[in-house]
Amino acid sequence: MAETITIEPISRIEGHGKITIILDDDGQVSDARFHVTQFRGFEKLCEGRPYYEMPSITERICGICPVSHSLASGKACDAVLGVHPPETATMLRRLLNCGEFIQSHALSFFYLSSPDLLLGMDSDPAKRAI
Amino acid sequence: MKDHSRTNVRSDLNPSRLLTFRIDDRDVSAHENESILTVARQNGITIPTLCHLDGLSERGACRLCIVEIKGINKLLPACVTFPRQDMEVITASERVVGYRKKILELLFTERNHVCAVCVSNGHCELQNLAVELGVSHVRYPYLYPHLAVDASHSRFSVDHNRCVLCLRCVRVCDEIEGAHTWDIMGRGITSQVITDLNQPWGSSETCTGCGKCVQVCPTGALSEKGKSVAEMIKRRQFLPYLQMMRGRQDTSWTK
Amino acid sequence: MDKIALATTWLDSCSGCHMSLLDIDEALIGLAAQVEILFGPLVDNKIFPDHVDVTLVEGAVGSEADKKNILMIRERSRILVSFGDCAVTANVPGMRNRHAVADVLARAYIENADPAAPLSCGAQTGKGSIEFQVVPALCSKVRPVHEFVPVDVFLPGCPPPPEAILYLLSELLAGRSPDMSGKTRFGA
Repeated sequence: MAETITIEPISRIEGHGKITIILDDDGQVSDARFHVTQFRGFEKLCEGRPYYEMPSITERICGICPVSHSLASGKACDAVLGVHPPETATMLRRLLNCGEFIQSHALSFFYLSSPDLLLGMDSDPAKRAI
Repeated sequence: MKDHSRTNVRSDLNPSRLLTFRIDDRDVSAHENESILTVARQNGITIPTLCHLDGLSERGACRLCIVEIKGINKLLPACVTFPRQDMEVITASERVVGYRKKILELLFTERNHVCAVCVSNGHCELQNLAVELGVSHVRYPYLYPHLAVDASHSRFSVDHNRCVLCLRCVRVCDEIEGAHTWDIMGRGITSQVITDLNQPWGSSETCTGCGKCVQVCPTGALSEKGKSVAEMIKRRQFLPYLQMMRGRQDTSWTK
Repeated sequence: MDKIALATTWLDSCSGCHMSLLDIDEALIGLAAQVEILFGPLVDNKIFPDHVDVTLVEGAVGSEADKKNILMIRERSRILVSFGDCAVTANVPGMRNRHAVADVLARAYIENADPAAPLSCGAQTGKGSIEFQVVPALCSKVRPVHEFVPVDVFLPGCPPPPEAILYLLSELLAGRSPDMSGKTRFGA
């Protein structure tokens, strides 16, 4: 019979999420939805602020990948001003980005995915805690 | 020049106009023209301040330097209160410290102080005061007013969300630069610092672009354009020298 | 010694404070011996336990779900810590308070939407209004945690330095009330 399964909250992701799976009368999945249950409105809250604050404000979008947002924001500022940063700056940005890969991938694997991957998806959640 | 004819000292009996009083149970001496704040500092006693700046006239705007005076119910601001013979001043009683914290917290609620993304993060006198007074959170509800940024000037910008109405900009522009571009409009919580007759700073006819207002501003309200978050470090070493060179000793903008 | 029951949660925030918590690096191992994390984004429990000793709450209260959660968390926690500037002062999420919620949503979901693409539920994008169906409704203003529930310890900072977090946890584990003065500040 028709049933809705809700998985809330989604654990071990950055941010907030919820999943609803709708089963039809035969118990088959008729629809599956992913809901993002958090919204901060960065698009609007940045309005009216000077452009050179953007790298810092957009960093606060995510605590795991602030560097990506900051770099993207920096590139947007470059475009706004119509400038090209010097080669050293570009290399430093690349280095920063690579540093973030290392940190983010390590974090994502060790803290967020590995408990499930190494101990098995069906193992006792209490044992899969950090 | 102002004539400070004070009646707390009888000049016929005391032509040097010196008096003695007590701060925190210590005997101190002062000239009748020296405020309690000046005398305290001379004696190594710290009183927190915000609107006070060496080189500018006193205003008594922020009320952070309030002290208790025995025999008087009201707490008085040390920067604009002058001692009398045998006065007893207490600078850090529980009552005074409690009120200072409340004043600072109310300052935080009045405008939008988002330290994390401010140009003055790490170099801000408001932040330093919070650390000094041990304010880790604000117990009053934030007001979240809707205030604008005026970035019309070619080199500077003013963000009213960060202004604490210390009026240092008004004083420095009037007393040291002499242009009096800055002034205040509105009353109470709707007060705001304005350039000329509330016209955009970029179109001001009086502003000389000297930037002194930016340097004396204690927070990130006034900043140089292009300085990103945490990059606005102020330089005010010039101020006492300029005040001295202008020959002004003890004037005040309002008196 | 019995392990302390710890829970962490994030409301309207970026998770940066949790990252700062993880930045205590090797000290985590020592900590893991003394605490048991019963709930939080770093573990896989779906239900907040009936009783926790310490809960670190990151993020401001920005939606109805946040409100409901914080009230429930306060009831079930012995010590509640406002973790980071968003929880203590509303910080960057609070910057949307100048605008009406409808404007904030419209900017993202209507003005920035691709007009040619139909929505998955069949409706067309356009100058329509947005209804909250499954996702929690946004509060008109984002506010700090202590405006809803009493908080025991405040830890400002964006993010608070890992040393401050370690100090806070060590003090709480030792049963002392932590004195955070000088260890962190707004916007640290």
